[in-house]
Amino acid sequence: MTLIFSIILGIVIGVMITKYTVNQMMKPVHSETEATEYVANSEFTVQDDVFVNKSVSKRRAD
Amino acid sequence: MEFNPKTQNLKCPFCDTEMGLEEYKKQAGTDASADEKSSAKQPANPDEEIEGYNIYSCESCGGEIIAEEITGTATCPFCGNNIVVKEKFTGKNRPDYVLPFKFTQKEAKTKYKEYIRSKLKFLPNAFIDENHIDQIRGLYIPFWLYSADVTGEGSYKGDKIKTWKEGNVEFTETSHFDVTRKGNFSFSNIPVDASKEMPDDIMDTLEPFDLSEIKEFDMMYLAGFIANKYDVSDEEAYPRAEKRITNSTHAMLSDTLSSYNSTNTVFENIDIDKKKPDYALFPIWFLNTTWNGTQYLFAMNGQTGEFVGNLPCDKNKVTRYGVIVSLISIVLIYIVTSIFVGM
Ligand SMILES: [Zn+2]
Repeated sequence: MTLIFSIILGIVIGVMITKYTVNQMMKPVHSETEATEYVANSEFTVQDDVFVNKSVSKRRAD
Repeated sequence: MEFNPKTQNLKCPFCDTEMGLEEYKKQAGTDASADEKSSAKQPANPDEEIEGYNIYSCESCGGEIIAEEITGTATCPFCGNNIVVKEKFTGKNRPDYVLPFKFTQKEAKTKYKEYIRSKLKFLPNAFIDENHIDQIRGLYIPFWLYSADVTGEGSYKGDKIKTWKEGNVEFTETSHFDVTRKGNFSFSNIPVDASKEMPDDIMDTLEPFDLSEIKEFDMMYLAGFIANKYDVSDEEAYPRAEKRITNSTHAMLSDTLSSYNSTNTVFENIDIDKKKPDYALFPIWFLNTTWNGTQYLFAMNGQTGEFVGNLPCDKNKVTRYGVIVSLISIVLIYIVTSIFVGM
């Protein structure tokens, strides 16, 4: 029983480690989606925060 | 003469004499000998041919290369097939800017060697024996540098939530706000690669390039290197820059809403005023190897040393490795579980 368990788990771990190591053969690449480092200037002309209303709810704290 | 990345001067490969770019130009300009005159390679008008330089085109992948006149056969840096002269290099193909190489070929070779050495485990022996290292080439990749003035505006519903307790009653107060934001943002020199042959994600990964070191283009920077001519037009490449501008503008607007616990966008509008992009060459140390019909490449940022690459795997080596790792795991797990079961 212990032996069968060890063999199954051992093979699963072996495959996982091998897959991981094979993936390391490649230096991963990615695509850039932002241009934040190329912002030369930023200036906000409008920053309005207008209060509309508020609502209060209450409940029993347990 | 060849451009020396270490000193940023021109160097004679035979006698090791070095000369600054300005000095060399001056000398070439005043010297009347035909050979020296051909080295003063600044075209005055778009149609003027630049002596000693050709545009080559690859018969297989269609890539176009700007290089000094090559005697004998020359090969395409992207696919390894023969390249042939297509036309003379003229002023109209001239880039606006160039980012000079800072890493030498020797340093690029060392990087590649280290990379190979760290991956020896799975590399096919025949691949190692073939030793491709001398085929690493200094290649200028064409880029469009996009600048734009952007107006971003948006209106949002924002909620601030406060909770407190009185006795055993919990109160939740939600305050509603109408939020308006408008701002002007300017982006400068977002690079988008203009080469069909060079995969976009590879060039993205090699970012950033330090544009503070960019120089007005001068043929001298090409000495000893080859350049890929752009084959993705300004309009074709622009959507990639546009997407990055839109995302970043949205992020800057969103950043100002952080004092709210939650927000909903009512509307958001991003208006981009794109300027005419500049055409620049960026330095890449490049190696493309075809192995069993698949291409593997190594590309290093010639300015920063950052690199990407992939390498072939030997199936037998992988299988052997898998079996050994599995066996070790089995033995270890068996020992550990036996100890626990025995307790
Ligand atoms: Zn080719």
